[in-house]
Amino acid sequence: MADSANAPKPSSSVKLVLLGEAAVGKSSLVLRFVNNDFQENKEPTIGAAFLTQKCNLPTRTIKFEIWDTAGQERFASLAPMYYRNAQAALVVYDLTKPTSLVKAKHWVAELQRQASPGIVIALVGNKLDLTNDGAGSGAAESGDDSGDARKITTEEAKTYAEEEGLLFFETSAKTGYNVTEVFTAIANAIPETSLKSARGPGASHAAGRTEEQRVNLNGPRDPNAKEGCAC
Amino acid sequence: MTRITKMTSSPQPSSSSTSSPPAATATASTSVAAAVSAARPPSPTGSLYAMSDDEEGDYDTITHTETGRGVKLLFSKSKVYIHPTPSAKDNIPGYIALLQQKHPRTATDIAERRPTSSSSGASAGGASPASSDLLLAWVPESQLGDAAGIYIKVDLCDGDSPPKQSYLVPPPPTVTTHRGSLGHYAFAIPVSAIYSLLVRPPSLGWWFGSVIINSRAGDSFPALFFHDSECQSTILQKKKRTRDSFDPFGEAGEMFWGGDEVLRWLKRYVTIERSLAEPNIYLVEPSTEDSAAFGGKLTASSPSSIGRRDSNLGTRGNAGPSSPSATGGRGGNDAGMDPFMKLIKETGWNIMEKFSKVTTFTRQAANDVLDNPRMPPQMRRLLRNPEVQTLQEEFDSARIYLARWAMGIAEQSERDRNQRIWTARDVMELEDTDVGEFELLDSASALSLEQARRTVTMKEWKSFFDPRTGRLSVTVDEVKERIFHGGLDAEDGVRKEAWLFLLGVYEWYSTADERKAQSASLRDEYIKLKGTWWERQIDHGGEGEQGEWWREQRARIEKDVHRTDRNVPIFAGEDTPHPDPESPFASVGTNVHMEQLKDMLLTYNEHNKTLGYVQGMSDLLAPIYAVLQDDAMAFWGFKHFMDRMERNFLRDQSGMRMQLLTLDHLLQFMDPKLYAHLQSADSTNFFFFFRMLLVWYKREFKWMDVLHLWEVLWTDYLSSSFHLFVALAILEKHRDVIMTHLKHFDEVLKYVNELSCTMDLESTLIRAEVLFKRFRRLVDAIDKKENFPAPRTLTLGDGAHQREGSSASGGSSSTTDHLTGVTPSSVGSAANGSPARVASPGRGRGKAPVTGTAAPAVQEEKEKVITPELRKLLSRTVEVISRK
Repeated sequence: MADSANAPKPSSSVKLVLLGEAAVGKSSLVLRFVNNDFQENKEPTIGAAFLTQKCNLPTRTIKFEIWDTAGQERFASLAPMYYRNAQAALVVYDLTKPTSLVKAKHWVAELQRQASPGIVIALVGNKLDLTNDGAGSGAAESGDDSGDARKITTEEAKTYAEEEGLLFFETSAKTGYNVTEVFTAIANAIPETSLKSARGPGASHAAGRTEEQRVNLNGPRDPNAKEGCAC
Repeated sequence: MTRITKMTSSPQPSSSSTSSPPAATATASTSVAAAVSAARPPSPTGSLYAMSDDEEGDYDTITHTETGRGVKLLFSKSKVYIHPTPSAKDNIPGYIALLQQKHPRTATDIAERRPTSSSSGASAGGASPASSDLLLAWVPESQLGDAAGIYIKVDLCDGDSPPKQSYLVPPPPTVTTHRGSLGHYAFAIPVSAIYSLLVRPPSLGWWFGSVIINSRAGDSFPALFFHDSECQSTILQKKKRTRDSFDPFGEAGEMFWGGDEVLRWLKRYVTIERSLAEPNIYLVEPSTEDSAAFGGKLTASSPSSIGRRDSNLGTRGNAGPSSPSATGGRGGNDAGMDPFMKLIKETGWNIMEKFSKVTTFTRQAANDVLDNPRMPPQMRRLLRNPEVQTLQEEFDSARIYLARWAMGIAEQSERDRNQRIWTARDVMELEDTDVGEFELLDSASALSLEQARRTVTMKEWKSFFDPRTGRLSVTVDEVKERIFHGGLDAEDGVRKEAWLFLLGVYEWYSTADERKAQSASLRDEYIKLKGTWWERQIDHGGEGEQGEWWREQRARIEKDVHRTDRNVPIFAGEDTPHPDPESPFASVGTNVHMEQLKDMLLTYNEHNKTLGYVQGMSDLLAPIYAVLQDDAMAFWGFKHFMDRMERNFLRDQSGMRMQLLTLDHLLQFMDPKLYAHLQSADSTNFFFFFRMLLVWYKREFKWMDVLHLWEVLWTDYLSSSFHLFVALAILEKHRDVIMTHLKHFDEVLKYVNELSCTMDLESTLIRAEVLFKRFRRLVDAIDKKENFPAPRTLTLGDGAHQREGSSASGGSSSTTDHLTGVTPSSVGSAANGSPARVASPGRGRGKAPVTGTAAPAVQEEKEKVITPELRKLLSRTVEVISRK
């Protein structure tokens, strides 16, 4: 992303976490958003990855600090340390795999229960390229003649998203379809009030981070979770 | 006039051929002979030679005529050292020089030589001399004799061209190949006999710049180290540069050093090409084949386009591969898009200006960066930009990028060094520069270390076994020690056998027959186990929750197999039709090895139902299968590996938590300062090591390195938790960057994640071993001091186990130390518990975590508690979760 050289806009950091079942394409979405790249057979994430990317809005710049997590249920116990303090979450499912939406709903519920109250959640159905309406990708991947591997209708997921007050998108990390849109929508949805200016001149709250950012494998979750801003 | 003694049609007396070393001669001089003899008339008579062939006694020597008359000294530079031993007191100062001998082109020339030789300098003024007439020489100061004044004079001649006046000096003995015995004496090699120069500018971790001459005969001369700070001419040239341009660096941002001068001399006369494949290699008059062999476009500079500028263009183009961000090869070959340019493009120019804030670096980091000769010129300009910009958030990532980039350079220089044999000096410098607080190994032990790091070949492996029974005829510890230090040969198939022992599939003391039987029964058992889920396939795993779980697991396994190590050739193909048309991979295709991986993981999923398949396991299995290429044996190898790894995969994460906690204790114990920093960065959960510990650095090192690392770890030679010392070694290596630049957990995690595939394994292992030994000494010393039996801090239950563990390591320690190079005396003194030793064990150089006067230091040590977790690190017994 180009950094606009003129007219510095206010800049804020937003902590975002990706959740969702294994192999739905979380890392691929991030890779597309951050590097505009796609890797076939991207290896499973182990532990977590941390990436950053900026998103330019007309009036401000949002710097996403993205926590990309391992998807398998087995590692679910680690998730709280990632979504704590998160201002945004991307809950991803694979729209060719019904159980992945079930899992996504679990994550949404957990976030609503345990994450920061104002967290912006986006529900994202990935792998749109495997469907007929594959958004210009050519839906050749699913193999059979129908060419449509979709198992979850847009309506079904959308209805659910509306009920829960989530942003909703169908994307393809492979083709890049709708990926930037997800992040832009999240950036727009973050309430101005919850934004703090990024660390920089005069950013004096950094010292207070020690408590805010406390991430602890063992300990109980910090109930006073506030957003941090990091780079 | 040059002549190859042996290769020409032997005008020598026959006695000389008897004294010639047999094979070496031919190989050594073949290429030179081929190059030279074609253009030359038959050898002149012996009378033209200053020395007879008998006197030389060395058939690789090319003799030079007119020795008494001297050769013309074109350029020279002082304070160029040979370091024959690791000890600085043995360094031999000398001069590197470019000499010109008279060029006898034709028989007439030869005939005329005698009368004109006294004015040999005259011919040099006009046409450039041929490379065979140029000699690159090194002469020790002590051997200069009367010529010393001339060498000094020419050295201090400031100018790009050789002095107008001819300075004649006695020619050093001319050779085309280096034999160890010649190393300490003057030598001169015809430039035409030089194949390449290995040039290492002074840099991080390699204080003196050096040049190594590789001859066409295929060997290397001793490294010539440029002690620039002592060399008057280099100092003057540097000053002049600063005066002329306010720029202490070269035109393209290089720091000026003595080695540049040598390249500049040579470029005046011959073509020098910098290899793209090996950026430190400069080819001298390369053939087309050579250019091709070194790959990529070469930065050539013809004799006409002389100058530093050329060499630096080459440098810039090659900055890419050394940067960590260039991993994966993207853009690595694109000279225009080195990572730095990429960074500029990605982040915008204004951010770069913020680099001027580099003054906030610690002294160390700033110096490292500024002194780094590979510093991109753009960066240099920025760093000199007087305008101080305000800090903004981008600064942080750029700052970290820069710091890591500097680390990458250090890694690169280590890798360069690894291409040579490890020498005592390497080890010393490694210790010296990286952590700065390791005890130095003395030269004797370091040499044995070099010895110990020989790879174990199939031949050596076989020699461990009784040929008749096939039973091990040495101790397991001996075998393990060799593998721990040397690793197994990657090419000759020894891994295929040895891994089965290391993994515990075979008993170490079994006979060949027993192993045959064992293997047969394991094969049967694998097939049986496989059958249990094979049947389930018919009804897709069956009804109910169990069936659901099974189908879920199968899908997960298949997905992960298809994204595990697909860049490794055997797993790459997708040419086989998928056996199951309903599989999501039916349309993609598969290959037999992926199918085997899938079967093995499904079998393990069945074999260990309580654990089941967990992500990460495919990473653990793939190397084992790829090496063994036998599904049944690979399955059992994997099963044994999983026995020790299982705890990491538990749902409650208790195993990982325990390991991270141990790492916590270990760092706290070994490096309280770094620990305190991580504490301030909320990083003492050590979660950034999660991936490394879960899959044993599988994602952090390149494939071949992973194979090596795992076999080292499987030996449990020093500790069954040696992988935690590897973690500690990585932390220590990056200590400065972490402490200076990483203030928050996410920064630390991002930084550590991105170390992937940028780390050098060999030096990491050496560091880990040194750290382990220091740890063991510390524990010993504390135990002695407290005068308590070792297991004092243990609970009753653990006591027995621990006693066993520490006695195991204790029992082996004397052999260990003898074999691996820590001097027994140092261990001894630690064991004697001298208080000074306890106070600052080998941390003499300022960066010590324990600071202050001796008394508080002792106090601090005393407070050090050896937790049960720490004590377990001394155990060589693998902890396995007990079943039922």
